[in-house]
Amino acid sequence: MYFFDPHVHMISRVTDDYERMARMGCVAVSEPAFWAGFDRGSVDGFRDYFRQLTEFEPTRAGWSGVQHYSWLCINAKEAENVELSREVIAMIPEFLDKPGVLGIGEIGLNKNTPNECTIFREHVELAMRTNELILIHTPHLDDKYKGTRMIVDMLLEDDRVDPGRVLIDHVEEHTVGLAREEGFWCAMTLYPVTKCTPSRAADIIEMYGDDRIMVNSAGDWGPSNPTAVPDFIMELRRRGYAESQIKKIVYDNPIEFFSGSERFEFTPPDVFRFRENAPAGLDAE
Amino acid sequence: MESVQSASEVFDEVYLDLRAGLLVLAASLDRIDRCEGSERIGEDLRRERIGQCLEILATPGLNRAEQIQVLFSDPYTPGWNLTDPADPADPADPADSTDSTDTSASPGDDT
Repeated sequence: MYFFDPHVHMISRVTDDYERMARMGCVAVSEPAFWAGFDRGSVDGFRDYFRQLTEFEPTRAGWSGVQHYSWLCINAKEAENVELSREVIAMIPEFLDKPGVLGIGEIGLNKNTPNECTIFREHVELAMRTNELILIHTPHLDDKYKGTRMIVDMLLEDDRVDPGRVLIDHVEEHTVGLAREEGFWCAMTLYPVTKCTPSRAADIIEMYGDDRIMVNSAGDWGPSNPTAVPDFIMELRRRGYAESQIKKIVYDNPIEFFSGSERFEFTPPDVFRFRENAPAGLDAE
Repeated sequence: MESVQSASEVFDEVYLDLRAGLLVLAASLDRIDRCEGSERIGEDLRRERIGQCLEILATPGLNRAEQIQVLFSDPYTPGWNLTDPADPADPADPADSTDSTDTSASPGDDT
């Protein structure tokens, strides 16, 4: 089955992962900007990062026939540095006309602090001013419920925010309803230990339905699995669901949401020609 | 998207996983209790929550996973954004947390 991984940090993965994902049916990925494992020291550090996201990653993905999209922001963890965050937010528009940039993300909260709230609101302001989609990170573990509610509260403060243009990510059993009842899109992350297993994600689909929801691997530099979406597909197959029902969640829904961006140019796999789209190869060394 | 399986089919499918999970839980609690200082663990909020989870599991219902998630969550104060966040005495300050237990230390868990 073809699938779209709507949240995966391929910059942290090796090229072989693109190849493995493609062989398992991945036709496209979207990659939000995130924390690199250390706090970056300058706006130029982010400028280089955004160049890598918007220039080199699409090229590298193309070697395996995977279409690559990206999101730009300074993540919640680094938002504690308000001065740097504001410099990054002011610089983001330099990249907003790059092909494949879908919007602002993944913005959100980490420890639910006042500084994180300040920078979250300023990212939303940028997205409203530039008419961008928004992809939202919600906190982990004990912080998630409170943080998700705070995020929804802040989004509802702004009359310009259209919930149909906002994706709230990393939802679990106690937060999926918060996102959906206000009309937001949401996504479940299939992640070892701290987020959803494929089985729990399938349970949530059974309880809340398959509209405005998707699943992702959030594969990154930590323990994670960039082929987690196929695990979810297998879970639904074992439970007896039709291929068309599964396809809606792992392929149709991401495409429907991302189509809200004018820069989302997607070639369906039935007409995609690998040789015409694959960039010339490069040696890593 | 309602389940297309019967309860009996699902139970057959998950039974060994449930059995294995319960054994992991039991063995882990045994391991803690046979170590030096185990009596102090009883005062740890996290251990108390594990006990509360077991009570939730023993109660019939359709949202036990959600209940356990909420049990492991920091408290939320509705209207927090309608008050003055600069006021350090404001109990609704977003940084306020009544739980000092930081369990979110997974190094790569920041995507």
